[in-house]
Amino acid sequence: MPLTFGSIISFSPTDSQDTFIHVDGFVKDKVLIKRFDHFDSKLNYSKCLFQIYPAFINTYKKEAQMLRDPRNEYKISYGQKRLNMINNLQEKIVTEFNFNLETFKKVTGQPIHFGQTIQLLHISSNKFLSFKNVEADIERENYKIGLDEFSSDMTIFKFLPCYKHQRESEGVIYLDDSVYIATTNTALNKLSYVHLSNPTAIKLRKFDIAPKEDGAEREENERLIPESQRNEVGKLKYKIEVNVSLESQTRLKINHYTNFHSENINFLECGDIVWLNHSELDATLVCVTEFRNKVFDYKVEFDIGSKITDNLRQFLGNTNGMWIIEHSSYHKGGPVRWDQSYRFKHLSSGMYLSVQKTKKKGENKNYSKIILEKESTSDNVFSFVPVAGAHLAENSSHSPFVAKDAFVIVRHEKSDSVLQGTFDKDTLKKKTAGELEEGRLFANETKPCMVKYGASSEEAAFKIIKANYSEVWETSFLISSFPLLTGFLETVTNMNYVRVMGLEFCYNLKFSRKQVVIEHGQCIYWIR
Amino acid sequence: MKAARKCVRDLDMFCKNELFNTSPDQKYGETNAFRQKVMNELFLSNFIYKV
Repeated sequence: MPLTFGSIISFSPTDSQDTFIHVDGFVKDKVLIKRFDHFDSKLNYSKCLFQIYPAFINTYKKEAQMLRDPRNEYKISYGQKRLNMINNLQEKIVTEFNFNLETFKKVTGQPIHFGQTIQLLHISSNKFLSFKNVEADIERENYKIGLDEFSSDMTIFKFLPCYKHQRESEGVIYLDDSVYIATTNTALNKLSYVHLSNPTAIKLRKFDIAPKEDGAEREENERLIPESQRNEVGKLKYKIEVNVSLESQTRLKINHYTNFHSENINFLECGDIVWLNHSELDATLVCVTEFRNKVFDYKVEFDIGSKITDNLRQFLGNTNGMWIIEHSSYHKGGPVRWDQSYRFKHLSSGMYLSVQKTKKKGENKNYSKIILEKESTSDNVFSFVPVAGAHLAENSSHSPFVAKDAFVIVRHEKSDSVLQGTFDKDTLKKKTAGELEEGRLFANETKPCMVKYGASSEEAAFKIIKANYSEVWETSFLISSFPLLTGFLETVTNMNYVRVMGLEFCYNLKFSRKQVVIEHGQCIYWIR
Repeated sequence: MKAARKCVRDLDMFCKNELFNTSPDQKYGETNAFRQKVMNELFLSNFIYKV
């Protein structure tokens, strides 16, 4: 199958599995190689995905950007003339934008050839991969690569063949091919290649000790570092940077995720972020964090705060109830199907919704417990089952795909049970026999549980509500900013122990580290 | 430190709705209840205050 325009792909080095080019795109734009074979709350496969766009025309956009430069201020006239000029430019930019959009629509689905100019749009942040005319962080002799909000000459790349047989064939690129990614934007106008640096060991450090300190002063400062942090300093962490090199090139494997689907499609896709709304209780499945005995505890609960607003007909869900639908093989994309297995990844914590068998003390019976788990195992594999009573055309079992806003039953495959709500312990004690027999559930009295599949399944119906792009962007932006802020806070907190380079003026600030960590432990926990 | 400074500046713009406005109903710089709600749910309001 040939690789087509509009396809969503990821890149990995040819010699290693579960390793991909990853970029946060919100608060950090360093392009690095990340391993996906271990748990890291910051890792999200959607941050490895790029959509292939054709090259765009940016003549008027460039003109507008030039006018923002103070050196070109003399070109801007004043008064009515200025207003006319801006309006004229605005119209031209809109026309140019529409032309580019039409170009994309025209080429979508057409195969890509070696040497054809392309752009790579980072899916998670909606920014273009871009060549930067500055030196890279690790390999200083190479150029940096990052993300840009707008397309420009710097965002244009091309795939080049890396094997002889690719050169000699018709030039079409196939899915899962290995390629070189090249750009011609360097100062010398010489062809340069996307390149991976050698793994570089970086010492973990909470703060830097000023190099000018000598002898006794340095020793004194080091002595003041708490034991726990002293162990942290000096630990090695390996980083592989993605940069642009004039000299060497790296073969990259294209991993196909999914083909282009219009935003108007009526079914769910892998990578979509959804709320799971229990239809009978009108409550959303959320994850709540509790800080007990200096340990954080995740609890899966129902939240009744999420409602569909009457005037807007828009669902305002709880941010802690946003789940990423991930295929059981996380690197597979495409529409969500009734006959395949998926995982629910919690957006804020990066952990999986999971069901575990536990035994109560003194009882032989097994209970299913709903928890969040770091590792992807068979305990967190679910599938969707259509609700027999919901006769919506797109929700019918005849269609192989799960529709947006569909009513579904969430079935846990390993235990063959379905997600449901039950009375919590306190409510059970208070309820009379009659009320229990009636079995009516209220969200504030219930907790999520698993019941055997098959029995009164309509009660276990969940409505899957897809979050829109701006809700996902806003939440992801805030989640991304957490680690940076925590790092900053920790550095500032530690300033009474060690002098931080460039911030000597804060040296005398006195913070209680313990106080800050405990007060904001909840935030810090989400990040880690 | 440079990155943290940029992050705080972006967050400031985000709270004032001067960053990433996609909806035509959302006026530049006008408060938006959804953003305040998200910040609150993610415990970020207190956190930023501390920073």
